[in-house]
Amino acid sequence: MAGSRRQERAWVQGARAGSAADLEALFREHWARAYRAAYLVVHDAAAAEDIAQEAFLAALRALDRFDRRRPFGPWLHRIVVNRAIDWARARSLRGEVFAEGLLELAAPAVEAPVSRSPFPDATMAALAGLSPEHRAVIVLRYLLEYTPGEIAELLELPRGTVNSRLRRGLDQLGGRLEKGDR
Amino acid sequence: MTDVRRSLRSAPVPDEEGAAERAWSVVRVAFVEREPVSWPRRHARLLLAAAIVVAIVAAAVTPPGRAVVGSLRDAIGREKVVGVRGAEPALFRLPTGGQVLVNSRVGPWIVQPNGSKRLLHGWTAARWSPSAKYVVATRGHEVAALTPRGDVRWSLARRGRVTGASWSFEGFRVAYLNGTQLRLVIGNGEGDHMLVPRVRPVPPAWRPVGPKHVLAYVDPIGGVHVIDADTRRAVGDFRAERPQELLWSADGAMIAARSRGLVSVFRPDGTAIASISRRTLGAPPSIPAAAFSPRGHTLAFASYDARANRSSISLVPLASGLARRLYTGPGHFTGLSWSPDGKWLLVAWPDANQLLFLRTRGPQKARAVSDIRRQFQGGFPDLAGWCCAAQ
Repeated sequence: MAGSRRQERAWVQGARAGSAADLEALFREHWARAYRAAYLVVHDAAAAEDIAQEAFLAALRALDRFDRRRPFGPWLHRIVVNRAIDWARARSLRGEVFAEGLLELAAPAVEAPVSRSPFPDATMAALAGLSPEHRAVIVLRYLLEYTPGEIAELLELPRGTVNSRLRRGLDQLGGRLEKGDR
Repeated sequence: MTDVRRSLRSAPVPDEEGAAERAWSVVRVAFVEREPVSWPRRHARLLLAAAIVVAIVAAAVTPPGRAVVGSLRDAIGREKVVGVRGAEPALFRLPTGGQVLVNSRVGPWIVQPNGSKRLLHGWTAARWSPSAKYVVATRGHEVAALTPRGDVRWSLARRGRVTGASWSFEGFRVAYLNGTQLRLVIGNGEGDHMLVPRVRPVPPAWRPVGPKHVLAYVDPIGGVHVIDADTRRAVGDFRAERPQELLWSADGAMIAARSRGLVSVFRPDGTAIASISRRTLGAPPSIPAAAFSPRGHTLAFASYDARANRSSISLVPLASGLARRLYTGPGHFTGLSWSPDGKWLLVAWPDANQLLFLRTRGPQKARAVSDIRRQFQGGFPDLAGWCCAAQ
């Protein structure tokens, strides 16, 4: 862990000095988890790609101000998860339902990307039924492995709120799974 | 809990590798083009603290203390749009054939493939004829057909203000807006007459293929009408959200209405095909420019994310519906033109004072030309078309 932290610091330092190879190493190290985290919160591949990409661009813009003694991951995940929550909230306010991609196809004459249920797994389908805020804490805790205290810091929430969201999220997941079993 | 962990880690995420490659290409370009932060600026906070101490001391004992405060302001600096670094200082050449027409504050300019350019002095705006042998130009109350050298072949004056003139697919008709009217004139300047008494001030758009002279326009309440301009018979109509621009696909099979945050694509008979809206974090969404490719049904469009103050250029082949992001940069992109061979996209980037040529196929390539305002004599020009082989 200490070695990988050292390696990450070296990449950050290299990227700040203008090394595209170091930036790419940093990107490759963090992209998959950032994209997956965004996708699990927003449930839309195109939006998740945009969110993760914009998070990297935001990180890139702030790279020179980044305190390299601190780990890069939490910094990036904070941006990803907060933007994903914002996006999911905005979508629920708009009441949009759409297929993936930027294009909304209205006529069958043109081939459309087929919209399928993205979550064949029961746990994943149950996750889709949670609110964005609950999904976010579940993703931060069980995918990105942050402690409740760290999640509270990342989302700027009281620790009690994080704990209650985790508990409620898991209860709802359990409830939905039971219903699905019947 | 283990099940939840396992499910979250193993859940299929669509096109993970493709997404990574697309994102990396955007991040890499942004990295290459970012403004390098100098050592003093990177350490601005430290410098600031030290300089404040010095300034307080200096101001207390010497009049030039105020100058130190001024230098602090410079050290902190402000964000500005730099554009592509290493851009060409002038428009030496076009990356492929054809001629580019732009409308600037001093008039329309025609740019040749070798970069030489001619000002059509005294005119406000111009558009190409189908084969680029002429342009149709407007100013005040006048519409005229000019050669690319600026010789007037015919002109016509009308009482109201004349705008939005455009030539039909084979050059036999010219449609233009005269105040609130949509009018039509034969390609030799004769037979001028009113076609529709009241329209919205959106340039009419000719279907680019025949045999009929099919024209699209926007009515005062925003409805789009497609008519046979010779018989005035309706071909189709549809509603779009406050259209700002009408665009035909090159084969005339599709017509798009671009609004501020939406591009809606229809068949000429009004059947809806597709719509493109920006569904990311940027709010409010904004699509300031769009253009159909010269072949096929690929739509290029610019989108602007106000929150990040960044714009993107994307390509959507309408058959697949899968958008590909071609380029992302800070500030606004305001215009798009395809090269006649479809291999390049010309992008207007006023915030960076650059014109950008983006390759649309093969490996990503961006060529930029800087100092555009000076070259076109003040004001950033509007793109009015990249047409045909040089005559």
